[in-house]
Amino acid sequence: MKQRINPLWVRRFITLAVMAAVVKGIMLTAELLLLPYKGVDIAAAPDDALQYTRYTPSSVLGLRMSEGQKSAGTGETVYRLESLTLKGIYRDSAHAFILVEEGKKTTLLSKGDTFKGYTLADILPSKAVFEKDGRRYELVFKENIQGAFRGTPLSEPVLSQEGFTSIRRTEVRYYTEHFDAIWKNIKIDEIFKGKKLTGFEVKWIKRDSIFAKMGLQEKDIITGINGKPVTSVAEVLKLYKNINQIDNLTLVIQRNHSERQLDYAIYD
Amino acid sequence: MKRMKMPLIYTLAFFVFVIVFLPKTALYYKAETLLEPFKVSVASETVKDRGFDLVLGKGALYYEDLHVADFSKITVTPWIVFNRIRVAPFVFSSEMESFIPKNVSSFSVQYSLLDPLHVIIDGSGAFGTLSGTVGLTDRNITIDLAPSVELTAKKPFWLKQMRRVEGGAYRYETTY
Repeated sequence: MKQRINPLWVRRFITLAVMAAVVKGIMLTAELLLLPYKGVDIAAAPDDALQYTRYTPSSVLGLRMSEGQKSAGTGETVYRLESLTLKGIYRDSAHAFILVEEGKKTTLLSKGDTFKGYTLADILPSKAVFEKDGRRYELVFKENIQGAFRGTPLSEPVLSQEGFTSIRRTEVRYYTEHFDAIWKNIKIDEIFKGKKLTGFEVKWIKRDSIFAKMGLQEKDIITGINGKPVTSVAEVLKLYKNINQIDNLTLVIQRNHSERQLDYAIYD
Repeated sequence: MKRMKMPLIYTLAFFVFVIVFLPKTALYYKAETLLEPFKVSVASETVKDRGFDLVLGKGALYYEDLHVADFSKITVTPWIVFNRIRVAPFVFSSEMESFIPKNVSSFSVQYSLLDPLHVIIDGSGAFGTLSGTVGLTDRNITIDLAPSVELTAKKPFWLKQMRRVEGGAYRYETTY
């Protein structure tokens, strides 16, 4: 009987099949012994916001009564202030400030400060308490239905008082939407220790710019942002990305070989 | 010549089997773990071993939790004598928009045994064109960027960190 299949080709085919099986076996062994069977999952991005608490009008339901009216519910007679507008309360474990507006002027007050004869006696989560001539006065948030601030925008984009600075959010938003505008007002350079980024040095700052009003000076080295050391440009980009969502910002800077902290509140 | 034919066929077949049976998906996962210390990660991608190459479809590239770019396709070609990672096209995320024009038409990193001491980098897009090399023995990286008008108009801070070289290009050099 005539052979239909050439035995040489059968031998070659078997050789190739064995070769394929050996290669597959080696690869499979290597895969099982040396390589991972799943990829890396991305962890949730940490929150850039500080652990400050900002009490906004949406979180409180303040009563609005005219000056001289009694506050209900307490044994003590407390009057309400309506000549001032409470724009914000900023509290953490070490600091407490309020932002008040009178007409178009905005002022930052801390406990003990006197404003128009009223001394700021206490700062509570939803209100500020003033004293004048032995009487206690409450200043509460004015709010609309949606819980947003009511009233005209503040005239000053940046307010600085007692080492604490408030920045209007529209101002911040402007710089996030006009990135080039930043570099028209400030020039910064990365500072490296070896290959590791350790901070950003302010090389030049435009007088009267927002950055100057924020208290930054030439030769300042920004070494930390919101409690984290500056170790990469990505950290800064992350903050830049989220700046519209955060209410508080802290910069750690080195100035004249000493370290100091600059605190900012971003308000609507 | 006839005697050489079968050994050549077997050698070629061996390389084909190696390429086809290479555990590309597991190697990709390994690459992910190697990139993790550098805080570079890829998310939401689909991984498909197509035999001769590996295709990562529709994913996002992150650097330190920062959403850097979205890609539609990354093709990894591990042919031993010629290896290439080609990303095309991809779009920088809106967070990066202030720093670089969004659309990148192609970006590739390739290594060939014809030039065993260098890895070649190439890219083009709305940012301009870039070309570079990674010296494997010198342990240096050199990237030349010819910026587009759009990128030059953005005046990104990182461009100022690069050195101007002949022909209007900007050069980034570092060692590793």
